[in-house]
Amino acid sequence: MKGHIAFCPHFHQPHFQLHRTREEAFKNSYRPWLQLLSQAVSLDSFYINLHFSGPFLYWLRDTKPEFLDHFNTLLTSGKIGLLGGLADEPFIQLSSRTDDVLYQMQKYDELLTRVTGVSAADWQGIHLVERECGEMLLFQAAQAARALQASPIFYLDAETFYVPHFSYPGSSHDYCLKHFGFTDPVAKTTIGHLPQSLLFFGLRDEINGQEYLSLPVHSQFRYQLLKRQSFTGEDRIKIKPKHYYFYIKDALEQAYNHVRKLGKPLEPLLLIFEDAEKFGQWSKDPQGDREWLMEFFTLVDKDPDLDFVGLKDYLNTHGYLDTYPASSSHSYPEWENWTARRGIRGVTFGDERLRRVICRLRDAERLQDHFEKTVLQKLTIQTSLPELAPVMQRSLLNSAERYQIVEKVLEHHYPDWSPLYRLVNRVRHLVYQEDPKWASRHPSYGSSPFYDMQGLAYLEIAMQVLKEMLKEMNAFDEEETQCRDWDMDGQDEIVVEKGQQALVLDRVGGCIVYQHVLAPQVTESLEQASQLLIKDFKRLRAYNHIYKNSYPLVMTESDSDLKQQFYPEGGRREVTRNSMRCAIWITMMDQEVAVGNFDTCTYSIEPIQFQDGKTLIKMSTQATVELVGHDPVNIFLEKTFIVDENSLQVQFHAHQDRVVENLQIFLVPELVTSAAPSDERHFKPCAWVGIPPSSQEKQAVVQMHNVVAIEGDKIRYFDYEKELATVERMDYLYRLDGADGESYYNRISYQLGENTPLHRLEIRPAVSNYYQDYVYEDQSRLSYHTSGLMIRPWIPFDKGQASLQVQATWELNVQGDPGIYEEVLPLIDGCIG
Amino acid sequence: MNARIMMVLHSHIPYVKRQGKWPFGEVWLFEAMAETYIPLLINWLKLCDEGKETHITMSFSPVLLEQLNSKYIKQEFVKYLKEREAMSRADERYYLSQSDREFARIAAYYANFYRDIRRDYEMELDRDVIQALRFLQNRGQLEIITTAATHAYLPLLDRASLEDQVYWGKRLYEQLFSIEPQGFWLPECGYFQGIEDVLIENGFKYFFVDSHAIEGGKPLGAMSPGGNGEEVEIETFAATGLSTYRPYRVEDRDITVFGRNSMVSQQVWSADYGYPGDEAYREFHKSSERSGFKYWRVTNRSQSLDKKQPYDPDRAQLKVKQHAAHFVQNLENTGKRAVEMGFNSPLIIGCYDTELFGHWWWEGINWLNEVLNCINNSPEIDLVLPSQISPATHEARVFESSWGMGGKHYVWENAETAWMWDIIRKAGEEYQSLKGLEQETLMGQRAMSQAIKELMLIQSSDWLFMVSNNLTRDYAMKRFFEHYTKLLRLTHTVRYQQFDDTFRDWLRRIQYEDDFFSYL
Repeated sequence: MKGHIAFCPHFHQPHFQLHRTREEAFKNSYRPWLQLLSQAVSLDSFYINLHFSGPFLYWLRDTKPEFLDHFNTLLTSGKIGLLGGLADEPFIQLSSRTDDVLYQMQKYDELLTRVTGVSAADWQGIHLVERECGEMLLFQAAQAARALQASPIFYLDAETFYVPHFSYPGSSHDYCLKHFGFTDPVAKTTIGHLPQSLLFFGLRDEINGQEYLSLPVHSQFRYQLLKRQSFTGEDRIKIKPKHYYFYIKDALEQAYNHVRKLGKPLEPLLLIFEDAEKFGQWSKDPQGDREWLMEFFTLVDKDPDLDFVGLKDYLNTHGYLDTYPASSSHSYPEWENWTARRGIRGVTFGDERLRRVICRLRDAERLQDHFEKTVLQKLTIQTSLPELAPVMQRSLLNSAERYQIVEKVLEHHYPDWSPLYRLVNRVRHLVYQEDPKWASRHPSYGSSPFYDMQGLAYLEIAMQVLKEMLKEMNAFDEEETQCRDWDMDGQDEIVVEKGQQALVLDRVGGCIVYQHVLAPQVTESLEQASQLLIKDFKRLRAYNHIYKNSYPLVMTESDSDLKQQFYPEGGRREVTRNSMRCAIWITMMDQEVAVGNFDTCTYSIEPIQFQDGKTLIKMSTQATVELVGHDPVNIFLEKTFIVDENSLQVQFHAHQDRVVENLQIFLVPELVTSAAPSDERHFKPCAWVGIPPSSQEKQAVVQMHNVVAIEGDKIRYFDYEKELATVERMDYLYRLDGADGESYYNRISYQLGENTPLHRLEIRPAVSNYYQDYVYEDQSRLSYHTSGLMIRPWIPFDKGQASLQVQATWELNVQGDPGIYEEVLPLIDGCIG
Repeated sequence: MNARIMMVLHSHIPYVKRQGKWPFGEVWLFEAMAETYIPLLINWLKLCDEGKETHITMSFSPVLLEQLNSKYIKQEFVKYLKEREAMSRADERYYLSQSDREFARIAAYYANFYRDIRRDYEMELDRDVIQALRFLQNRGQLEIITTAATHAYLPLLDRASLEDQVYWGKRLYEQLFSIEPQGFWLPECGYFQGIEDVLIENGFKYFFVDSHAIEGGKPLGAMSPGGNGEEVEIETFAATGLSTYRPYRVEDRDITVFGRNSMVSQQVWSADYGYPGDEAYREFHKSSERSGFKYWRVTNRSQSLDKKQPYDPDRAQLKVKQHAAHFVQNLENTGKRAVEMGFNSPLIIGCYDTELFGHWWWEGINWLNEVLNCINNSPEIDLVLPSQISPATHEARVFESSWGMGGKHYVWENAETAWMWDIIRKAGEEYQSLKGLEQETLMGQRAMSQAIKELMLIQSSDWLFMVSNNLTRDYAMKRFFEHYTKLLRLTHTVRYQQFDDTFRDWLRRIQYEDDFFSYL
């Protein structure tokens, strides 16, 4: 028996990763990797296929040149092969453009060549992000690879080659049974899928004539690699290097024997794919992991039946198994393990917050599309058949090389804008990076907004740049206020892009679903906005201060308190908290109860008005509230959003059709922001609410909920209550501590109308639980500094009505002086002073 | 003072090497290796690695050790494991094709089990069970003792054969472990007054008997059906006032006797009250007709086999934890009661057939592991090895007894087996009549050497047990007669010095077939 092992660790840190996290991984994993490789390359049969993600490489290039120098020395051993990939580790299949895959691969090629000298033609294979691939991506990736002289070799999860229909004929997954009422006889009587032991060979496939080779990744060999520790209390499984070697050899032997029975004398390949950080960073024991891996490498080295190989080298020498993958006729199911069979589109569009990122990207793409069409109009297409010119123009826009075409035209006609166009396109790509689409919280349900928020901060500036360029070409014709189905949910939203803010109002819940603000200097000139992009993107920097200039105020996560349950056994939709929802609460039998679903119902919108340069959007709803021991009462709620260049005023007004004696009713708006502090180096964030001095004497009770106490690596939550003079303004200040030691605050102010009668004021995290009961408790619970802030003033009904006016303003990059406030309410215990 | 727990596991498989594969023969050994010996050893090596104490006393029959050490068995065992893995994979595919995911999952569970046993056998043990035993014994984790060479039932054996069984048992142990064995396991706990003299002559320091041999009273299971289905009345032994909570010196002899504790035995052994009968545990008596794998759980002991529900390993594992905790709690309580009765550091001895764990009681391996973990964590009880016990200060006269039904010899000597004892005695006499004669030819020496092997194989308690209980009776009788006829031909040829080519070829063949105790 002769078998081969392709060891393919994947190195990745996302764009905008926190300094401390990266540095910890560097110390525990990346530096030890170099030590391991230095040792391993001396073994005769050693070979390794490495994939460095684009964001990882940009970071190394920016901050760890000595690492790359050392690595490049090791490359000369000839024992290390590199895999190609995409520049921003994006789920680029979510993009609306056909030229993005080539762009991504090209940028990766440029980067890797610059950093290591290895160009696309020498790639051992191509890493597809999370091995997540529909047929379209495989087609485009194979096409892009060829354009770059690279071999279209991909590793895909072994599950990709199984269709439950074949594995479980007669079960509920049997499509034949499902649709036609009988078990598919073919599935029962022939080999409908590749058996496990044949998934150790290269497999050829093609889509629309684009040929490519795939190699299966077996999840059990990922799991077993470096399984030195227990994952849970009950888990006592530990895999020793010799066990791992045994499993690998055993699997290869079975594959070797099986393929011979088929009369094909191929030598099998076992592909070990795993995140590189499993070495050292997961275990926090790089030394132990290194010993484990070296022992494994040595066992293989001593075994004449086994060796390590490069993917392309293997395929060039041994070819592929000519057994057509059964799955290809069913498309390639996206990796089911973590997308719960929803695929990345299902995950992204199924999560309200993630969908907003894509929707904003679509806005940017539309704008870019408009810009490109305008630019291409400058291109004179010379043809002997003039009627073909517009067709050719359209063809250029549909080309996989559209970006390059536009860039070239710009270089000729608008040389100053060519670099800006490059930056804008770069930013847009970066927002597709994978991590925020799935990363840290739960494999199936999307993740934390941290990376997306920074991406959006740049995207909004990029859109500003596009708008300014279009304006200068007299081609910007977008309405400031639009009524359109922004989030593709079948109902129109109101999209306002005015001065420093972009705002989306949803009729469902009558709330703000997206609000992004820019610093005044960014909106004042193309030059200022461009400089920001140039500074951080001309040579992509690892760390930035973009929040000084651009910040997403509302991009909240879904909140399990708002979930919509379709049926008791499961099936529910998570709903995001959003801003300026408003509920009506009543007090009955000493209990406070929300009535009428005012916070989630659909509002009617009146015709939009414009006054003094402001946009006025009025919406209303009503509900009949059943009361125990009383006749029902009708309650009407009206909200007016007044959008200005640099502020947002919201007026809430509720009234009931008749007054019910001894019934206390409250208007409870929710002033929500997803803004949150961060501390890249020390993980000691700081945020607080400041209450300026008031001349009023009345007393107001403030209830603080889920205040955070950071105790070592643990977080504790506590509540407290305080009596204050009547609150007129609340300033939310959150500190942003950058990787380079720079520290500044952003401020969001909520000014309440004069003489607002306050029953009480609640201040709490915007969202407390995320997919509660569907994920582990610690994954479900959102700590304060990742879930923003919610302020709920309780306004009592008086003579059948209640009103609140609130004016939201913001200022980025401020000092954050608690001394100017009468009262300071810390949201993170002990962080001030 | 803490109570001391002595766990004694007795391991024995008759000589089956090259004596048939399946359904009778080598498969018995392979099953015991895969399901019991290797998982136990791996668990103990792990515990040892984790710095925990195993402190188990293990008896291995010499004939078993010989087989475990055989190159042929090592090769065949790996083949067996591969075949089982392939069969379970085939079962998995079959059940998937039938959309029976529950059974497919169990089949996959078996496939992984056999793969991992092969991994452990090859990678952890390097195919050398003896080496692992030696390692654990040298680390003080195990105390390994020996027993009669072919596991003969000693109380009914003639004196010369008894001495041979003890002597050769000891010799083999020394060959493999390079030290003298201190303890002797009486096969089936079969004791009669006088056997201790043979043990003392061979340098043994201690042996084990059943509880009633020390304490008197009724043996476990007072009324039990006999081999032919009839009810057998059990003798009640006179109460002695002695207790198994302490070791004793056999009256007027310099050897220690340990008595097993009835409570800890009953809890594990009893089909009615013991843990293995739990509804969640794997049903031993029902196997797939396709592959022989056991896919069902006990479900309800009183119901017929066709009512059994599919086995769920995860569910069984939960029960394992509960039962282990319960067992250790019982040990702690028993220890406390013994202290209250005036025993300082009472000794609680549990004796079991090793193959009970894993082979008969599938979850028994995990149970025992949990028990060891719990005892390691218990502040009230400690595991102890016989060599750690101070010399006995009290004397006892021990009853003639065994741990078999009825407490004496009934299981091995009854109406069903009386004829076998006639042959065993005749075979002994036949061999002894030639033993003293010097063999001048190499052929004669070889023949005599093979003759004692055949004699000892005839004496295995296994054939008696199988005939008595009507279990694989045909195979037992076949083996019994084969070894007897081999012995007769050997002794006849030696007696009349009729060594011809036919005999030489035949001798070569039976030396290959009955190939153990190479040093004989």
